[in-house]
Amino acid sequence: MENKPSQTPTKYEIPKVAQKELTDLLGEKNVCFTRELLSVYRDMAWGPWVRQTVNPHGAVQPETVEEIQGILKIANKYKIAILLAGTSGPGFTWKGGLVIDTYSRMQKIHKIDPEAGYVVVEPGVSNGQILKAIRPFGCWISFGSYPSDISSLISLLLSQAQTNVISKEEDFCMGVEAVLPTGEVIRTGTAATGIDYWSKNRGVLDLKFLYEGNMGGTMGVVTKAALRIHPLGEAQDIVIVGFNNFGDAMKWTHKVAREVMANTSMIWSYRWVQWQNYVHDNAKGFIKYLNDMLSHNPDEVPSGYYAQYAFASISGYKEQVEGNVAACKRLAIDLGGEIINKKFQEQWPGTWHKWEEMYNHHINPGMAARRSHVYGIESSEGSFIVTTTIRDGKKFHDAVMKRFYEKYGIRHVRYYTRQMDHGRVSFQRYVYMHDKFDNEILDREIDIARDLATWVTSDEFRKEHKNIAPMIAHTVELPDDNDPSGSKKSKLYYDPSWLIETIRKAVDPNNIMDPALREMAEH
Amino acid sequence: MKSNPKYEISITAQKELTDLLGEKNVCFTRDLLSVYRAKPFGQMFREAVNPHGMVQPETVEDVQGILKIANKYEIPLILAATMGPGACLEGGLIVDMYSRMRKIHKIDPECGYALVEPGVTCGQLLKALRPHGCWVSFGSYPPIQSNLSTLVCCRAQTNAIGKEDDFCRGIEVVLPTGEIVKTGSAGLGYDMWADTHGIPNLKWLWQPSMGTLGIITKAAIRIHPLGEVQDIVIAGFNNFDNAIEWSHKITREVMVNTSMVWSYHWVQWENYAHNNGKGFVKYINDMLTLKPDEAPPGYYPMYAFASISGFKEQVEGNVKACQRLAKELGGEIVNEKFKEQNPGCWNKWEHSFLEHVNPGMALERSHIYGVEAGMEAFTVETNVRDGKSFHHAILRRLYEKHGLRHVRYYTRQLDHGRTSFQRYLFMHDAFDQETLDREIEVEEDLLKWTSTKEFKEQFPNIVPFAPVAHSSAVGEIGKKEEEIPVHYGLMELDRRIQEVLDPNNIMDPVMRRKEE
Amino acid sequence: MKLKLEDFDKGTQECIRCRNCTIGAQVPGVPAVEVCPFHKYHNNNRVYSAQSFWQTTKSLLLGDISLSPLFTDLLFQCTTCGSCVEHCVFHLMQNPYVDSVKLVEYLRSEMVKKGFGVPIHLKFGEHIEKEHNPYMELHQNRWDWLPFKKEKLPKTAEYVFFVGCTSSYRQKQIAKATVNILEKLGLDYTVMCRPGMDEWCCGSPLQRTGQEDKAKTVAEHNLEAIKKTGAKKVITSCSGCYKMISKDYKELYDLDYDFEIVQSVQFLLDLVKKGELEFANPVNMKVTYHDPCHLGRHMGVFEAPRELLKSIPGIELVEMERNREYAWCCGAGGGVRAAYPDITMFASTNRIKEAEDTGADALVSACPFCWRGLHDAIEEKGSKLEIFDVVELVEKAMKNRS
Repeated sequence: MENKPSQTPTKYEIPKVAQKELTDLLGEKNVCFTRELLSVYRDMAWGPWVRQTVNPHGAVQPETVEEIQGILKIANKYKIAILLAGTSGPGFTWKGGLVIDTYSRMQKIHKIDPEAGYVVVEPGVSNGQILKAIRPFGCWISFGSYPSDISSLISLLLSQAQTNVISKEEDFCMGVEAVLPTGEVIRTGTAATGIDYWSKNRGVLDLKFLYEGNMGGTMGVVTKAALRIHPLGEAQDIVIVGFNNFGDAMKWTHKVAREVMANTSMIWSYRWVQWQNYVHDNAKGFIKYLNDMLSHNPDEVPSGYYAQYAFASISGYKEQVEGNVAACKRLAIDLGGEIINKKFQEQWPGTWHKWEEMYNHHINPGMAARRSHVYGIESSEGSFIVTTTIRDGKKFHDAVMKRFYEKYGIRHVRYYTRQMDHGRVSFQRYVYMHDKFDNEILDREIDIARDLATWVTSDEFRKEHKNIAPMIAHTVELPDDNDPSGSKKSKLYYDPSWLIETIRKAVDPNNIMDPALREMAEH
Repeated sequence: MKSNPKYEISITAQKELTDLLGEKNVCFTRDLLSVYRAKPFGQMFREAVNPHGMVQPETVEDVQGILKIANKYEIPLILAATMGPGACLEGGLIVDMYSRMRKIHKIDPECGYALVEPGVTCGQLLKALRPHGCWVSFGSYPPIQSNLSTLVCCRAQTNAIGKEDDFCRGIEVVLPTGEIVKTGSAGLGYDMWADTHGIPNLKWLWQPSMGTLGIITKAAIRIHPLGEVQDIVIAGFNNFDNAIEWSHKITREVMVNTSMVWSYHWVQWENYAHNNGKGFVKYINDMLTLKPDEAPPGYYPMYAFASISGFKEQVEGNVKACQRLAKELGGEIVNEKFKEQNPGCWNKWEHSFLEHVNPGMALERSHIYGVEAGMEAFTVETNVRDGKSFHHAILRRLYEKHGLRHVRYYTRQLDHGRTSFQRYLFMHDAFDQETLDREIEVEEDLLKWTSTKEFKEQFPNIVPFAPVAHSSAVGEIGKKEEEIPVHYGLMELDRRIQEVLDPNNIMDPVMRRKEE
Repeated sequence: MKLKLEDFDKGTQECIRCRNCTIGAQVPGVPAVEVCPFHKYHNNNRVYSAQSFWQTTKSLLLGDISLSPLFTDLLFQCTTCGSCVEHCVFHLMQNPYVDSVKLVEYLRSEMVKKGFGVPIHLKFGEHIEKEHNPYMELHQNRWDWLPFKKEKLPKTAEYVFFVGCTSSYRQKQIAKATVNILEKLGLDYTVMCRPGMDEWCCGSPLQRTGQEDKAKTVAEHNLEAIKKTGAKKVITSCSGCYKMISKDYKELYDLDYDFEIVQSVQFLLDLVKKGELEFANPVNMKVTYHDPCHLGRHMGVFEAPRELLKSIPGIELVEMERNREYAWCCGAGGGVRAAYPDITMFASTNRIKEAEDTGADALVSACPFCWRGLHDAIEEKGSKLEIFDVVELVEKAMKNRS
C-alpha cells in the first residue's frame, strides 16, 4: 500500500506542546495523536464521504464538562481546529484537526423525570439505554429506524433526524448544557438559573436552538440535553389501512395527525413493506421481492396487495384509544381505504413484527439491516427527502416517481411518508438504489442524487411545485472534483447561512470549531 | 422629563424619517407621545419617559429605511406593539409596528399556519380563520391584542394550549443592520413557512423578543382545526393536588386543547365580570370571609376543565376518559351545575374554550364597580409535582404573612403537561395608589422569599417567571440583580450575539445595559 | 482460501459506526453490557474497537495509510473473541462480508508479512516450528502428564484424544481427568504420542497471531498423524483446538478429512444420553459456566456443557448475565495473554466479578486456556471461587466408581 500525500495543510496539525497538555489533562488512555490509528473518526458512516475526508490529527475522549473546558482552553490557546464526533455523525474531517469524542466516555443518565416528561442525558447515552431506563416509569422516547445504540442526544438534538419524529411533538429537547468554544458553560432554559429543572424558560431568549440541528457542531460542545419522553399510555393500538391511491392515503395520515390522534402516522409503499418483511423474517419472501422489483411499474402491486399501507400508532387512556381508533377507521373508510389489520399480519409477518415492536410496544428492535445482507443486497442509504405540505406532497410524489421511471429507468422505488408537527408537514422519503457495496452503483446513485437536486432547485420545478423544500440531501453536497469552484453546485444552502456564520463568530471568536467546514461553506 | 440627551433625534434625522414615511406617519413632538411611554400595566409608566419620536412603518422597506437612518445617526430604537415589550426609559425613537402593518398575508389551514404582520389582532385573525375551520391560540388578552406580539415576541403563556408548545413556524425579521432574514423553509425562497431541520432554527433568536435583535415584520402563526365537534369537561375538586393531577394527566396524553384549574375566586371574579356585575357583592363577601382555597358549601374550591375538540369518536372517547380520571381523583363532573351557579364564567368558558371565540377581557365589566384586579401576578412554571407543594406554600404565606385571604389563581398545563404554569393574583383596585404600593410590597416579599436559601432547598425546581415581567412591580429593570436568578453563563453569550447582530448598539440599548 | 484486502471492501461499507461492537446491541433480549475487552481496557477509547478496524481498512483501501508498527497495539490487542460480531447490526456470523475476526486475523497476517509481528508471538511461532508447542517446552515432554507410560496407548484406535498444548504442558489436570474418564469407560482411544504420528500444536496460536503459513504446516502434520491412527472421532479438551481443527483447517487452509471432531463436553454428553456414562457421586456445588469463545460463539456449542453439568447429581447451575453468545471473553485468546497480560488480567477479573455476583461456589469452563486466564484472576483478586473444567467435575462424579 502506498502512502497518499497528505491533503492537510499544516495549520490543522496539533503542536507537540498541545499534545502534551492534552495528555496531561486527560491521561494517555484518553488521547491519541497517531493519525494512522484514527480512521474511525474520519467521517460519518453513510455515503461516499470517506473519499473526501482524511484522518484527523488527534482524538480526545473527555468524561466531564471540566475536561471539555480544558480541551477548549488548549484549543483556543494553540488555535487547534476542533471537530466533534458522535455516533453516525456529525463529524467530517475534511482537513484534519482534533476530534473531541464526547460519545465514548460520557454515558450517564443524569435524571429521569416522568412527570415533567424528560430525561437528562450525556452525549454517549444510547436510545436503547434510555428506553430501558424509562420503561419502569411508564415512558418511552422517540426512536426511528436507527440501531438502538445510537446516541439519543445526537439523533434527536444535533442531527434532528426526522426518522425519529412523532407527529404529536415537534421539539425533541427541553434544554441543553454546552461548553462554548470559548470555554464558558451555558445551560439553556430554566436550567440556566442553576436549578436541576430543565424546561424552556419562556420569558427569555432560549439559545438551545443553536444546538438543534447543528450538524456541523460549530457552536460548542453539547454535554447534556434534556430530551423529551412520552407516556406509554394505558392502552396501545394500531390502525392499518390499505390504500390504492397515494393522495387518499396522504389525506388520511394528515387528518389523523392534524387532530393529534396518533403518536405516529405513516404511509409505507408496498415495496418498503415488502423489503422490511423479508429482512425481519429471515429473508423469507426475498425472491418475490426481487421479482416484483424487476417486473412491476412504480406503485404497481400484485393483486391482493395494496400500493400503500398506512398506519396510525395510537396510545393513551383506554377510552381515548378506543375513540381515536374508531375515528381513524371511519376516516379511512370515508377515504376509500380498507382496514386490514389482520390481513396485514398474515401477509407481512416480518413487517408486522417490526411495526408491533416499534409502534405498539415502543421497543427499538434494531435495524432491519441485520438480515437483509444475507442475500448480498443491502439497500443504499441514499435517500431523496422532501418536506412539504400535504397538498404539494401528492403532486410531487407523482412527479418524482415519474422521473425515476422515465428518466432513470428505476422501477423499484421504496418510499414512506410521515406526518410531522401535528400534520402540518409531510415528510416524504424515497430510496431508489441498492447494493451500495458496488462502487459503480454508488456512483450512479450519486449521479441521480445530483440530478434530483438540480431538478428541484430549477426555476421550472419551483414554478410547478411551489412548496417543496428538499431536505439537505447529503449525497449531493460533496465537493465535486470536476467542479472545484462549486459554480455548478446545486444551490441548496439555507439562505441565512451567513447569519448563522455571524452568530458563530460571536460564539466562536477564535474560529476553532470545524473551520474547514466554514471555509467550504464560504466557497 | 428626565431622559438621556444622547437619545435626542437630530433635526436631520427627523427630516430623513419624514421623507421616508410621510408626515402622517411620524411624530417628533414628545409631549404628544405619552401613549408610547410604557406598557399599560403596573409601575412601568412611572419609571418611563415619553420617547423623542415615533415612526409608523407600513412595509418591510420602510422598516429597512428606518434602520438605515437609525444606524447612520445612532438613534436608539424601541419597539412598540400592543402590550409590550417596550418601555421607554430614557427616550429614543419608537417604532410602532402595530398601527399600519396589519395584513394577513396567507392562511393555510392544511399546513396549520397564518402569515401575519405585527398589527394583526387576535380578533381579526380569529374572524378570518373561522371560514377555514380554524382558530388561533388566545388567552385572556383582549381581541385587540396583536398575535405576533403575544405569541412570538412575548410568548405569553396565557395563550398556551397544552397540545402545542411552539406558536410560530417561521418569521421574517429585519436585522438591526438592515438585512432581511426569513427563517425556515421561507428562507429558501419557498412560499411555505415551515421549520427546517438539520440546521439551527433562527426563529428562536426572536422568540421571545426583547426588541434588541431585530424587527419582526411577519410571522407564520400556528393555527388549529376547530374540529368536527367540541366539548368541555368541568370537574369540581376539593383538593388542589387532585385537581392539578387531573389536569396534568389529561394533557400528558394530549387529549385536550387546554386544561386548566381555576380557583373558586377566579371563577367568581370572571362570573360577575361577564354577567354585568351580578354576583359582585357575593364576590366581595367571599373575599372577606373565606380562607384561601376555601369555598362556600355547594361550591368547590377548584374548578378544573378540559377543552376538547376533534372528530366525533375522538371527542367522545376523550371526554369519557377525562370523566373517568376526574372521578378516580375524587372530582365531581359538574358541567350542568357550573352553568347554573356561574353563568357569567360559563359564558366566558363557552366562548373561549368551546367555541374558540375571544370574548374579550374581564376588565370590560369589572371596573364598573370600581374594583379592578391588579394585573400584577406572581407566576411560576414548574413540574406538577413541585407545583403542588409550592401552591400550598404560597397560599400559606400570603395568608399568614400578608393577611391575604383572597388569592385568585389558575394553572395551565403547558407542553403536553410537562410544565405547570401557575399564576396567582392577590390584589385589587389598581386605581388606588395605596393598594398598588401594597401590591408591590407583597410582590417584593415574594420575590425575596423565592430567592432565599430555604426556599431553594424546599423547592429546588421552582423558577419564578421571568423577572422582567415583575420589574414593573419592583420599579426598575435589573434593580434586584442579586435576586434575579443568575443565568448560567448565558448573559455573556447573549451579549456577544447582540453585539454581532447590532454592532452600532441601536436596538433598545437601555434594555441591554440594564440586562448587563 | 486466500484473502485479499479488497475482499473486505464491502464490509467497510457496511459498518455504520454504531456502538454495538462496544456497548452491545441494546435491544430486548440482549444484555446491554460491555462487549469488547480491549475496548473497555482502553477506557472506551474508540480507536480500540471493531469499528476502528473497519474504518482503518477503509483508509488502507484508499491508500491513505499503510500498515506499520503503529498498528501493532490496535491489531494485536484484540482477543478475537467475536463478541463484536455477535452484537453487530449486520449479525456477522451470517454475513460473509462483515466478519471482524476474519479481518483482524487477515490484518495480523499482513503485519507479520511486513515484519511488524509481535516479537513474543514470533518467538513462540518459531518454537512451534521447532518444538511444536508455544510454551517454550520440549516436544518430548509433551506426554509427561500421562498417568502411565505412553507405550501403553495403542497405535490405532476408534478415538483420538487430541490433548492440546495447554492441557499437555500446563493444565495437565484436565488432560489427566479426560484420560481417566476414557480409561474408566474402557473406550478404545489413543493419544498421538509416537514419532511420525505425534500430536503437534493445533496451530491456533499461530493463526490468531498472523502466522498462518506456519499454522498450515502444523495443520497438515496433525491431519496426517490423525489419519495414521485410523480414528473415526477426535476428541479435544481444548476449545481452541476444537475450533481450529473443525473449522479453520477446512475454511482457511482448504484441508479436508473424514473424521468427526468433538469437544470433550459433547462427547461425554453423548455418552450420558446413551446411558454409557453414569455418575456415582454427587458433586454438591453451585456453579456457573463460562462459555469459551471458541466453543460458544465461534462454534455455536452452548447447551452441551450445560446439559452435561446439569446431569451431574448435586450440581446447581446458575447463569451469569453475559452468557452463551453474549459471554464476556476471558481475555486470554488471540495471543493477548502472551503479549498483553494486563489486558487478560483486566478481562478475567471482570469475568470473575461477574461469576462471584451469581453466588456460585465455582466457575466452570470447557477450555484449558480460559481456565488459565480465569484462574490467574481468581488468585490476583483473592477470590473464594474455585475453578474447574467440566471434565474435572465429571471425573469427580465418577470417582470411586467400582
